Amino acid sequence: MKKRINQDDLLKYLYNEVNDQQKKEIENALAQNSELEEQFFDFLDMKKQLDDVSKQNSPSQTSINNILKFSKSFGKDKLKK
Amino acid sequence: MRKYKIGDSELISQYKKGKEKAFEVLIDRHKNKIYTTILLIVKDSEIAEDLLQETFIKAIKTIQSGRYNEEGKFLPWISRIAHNMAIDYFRKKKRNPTIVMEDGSNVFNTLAFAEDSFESNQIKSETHARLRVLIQNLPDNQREVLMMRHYMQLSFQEIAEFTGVSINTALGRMRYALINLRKQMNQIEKNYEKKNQSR
Repeated sequence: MKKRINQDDLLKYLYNEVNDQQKKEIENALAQNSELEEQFFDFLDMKKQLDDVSKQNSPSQTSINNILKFSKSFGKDKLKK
Repeated sequence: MRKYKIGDSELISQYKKGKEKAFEVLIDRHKNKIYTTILLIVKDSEIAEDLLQETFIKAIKTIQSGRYNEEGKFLPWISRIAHNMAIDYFRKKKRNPTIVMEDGSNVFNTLAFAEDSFESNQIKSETHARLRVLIQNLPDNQREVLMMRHYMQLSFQEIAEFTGVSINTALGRMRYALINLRKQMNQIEKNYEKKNQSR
């Protein structure tokens, strides 16, 4: 008997945590079940918005320069030893 | 999923051999996600900047002393360092600096976002600001799973092990988190439309 696709399966699919067989089953289910498809697009939309939040959050260049500066000096110290 | 020409483990190998440029690429690749992980916990951009630096300094020391052994999984590894640093910060300070304004703005010290915000569409920025607030207001266990899966890129199985719950519980928490956020975002949009119509 075929496993009924639920929201947890959709989440695993959304985050690329399914194998090829499961992927096929989920895609078939999405094509046949509009309610499931709607739930999936809701998840997909939220995922996209969460991605956008992290794209917008960027540390300052000063912080990045401090890290790179530390890395260089740490590397030099390592070579001296 | 976005593919990179050189994998993280290859960049780390090059960095160990003294190629600073490789580390620069790694930072550039992951800085936003790590910063977001910290920011969503500490809720203050200046503190998040400090903790980001401490996180990378710890990573540099670990890699350069040959103690790094999670090749190929750099982001989850460094995100865990960032997550622990942010949690430690709270334990040390024993305070909760959440200041949520009614419209969801001014929650963070916004200096770090300024550069992007100028170029961004204002409505989009407001939406993202609201979403950040909503993420922070999620129940702890839902926020934790969402951050671990989405920003730290741990698998649901890894999250289950990390938090000591079953994979179904981890999935359930993520599901509720996304559904909660979706509902609240929809509600905010509806209220916004109503407000505009009544003007």
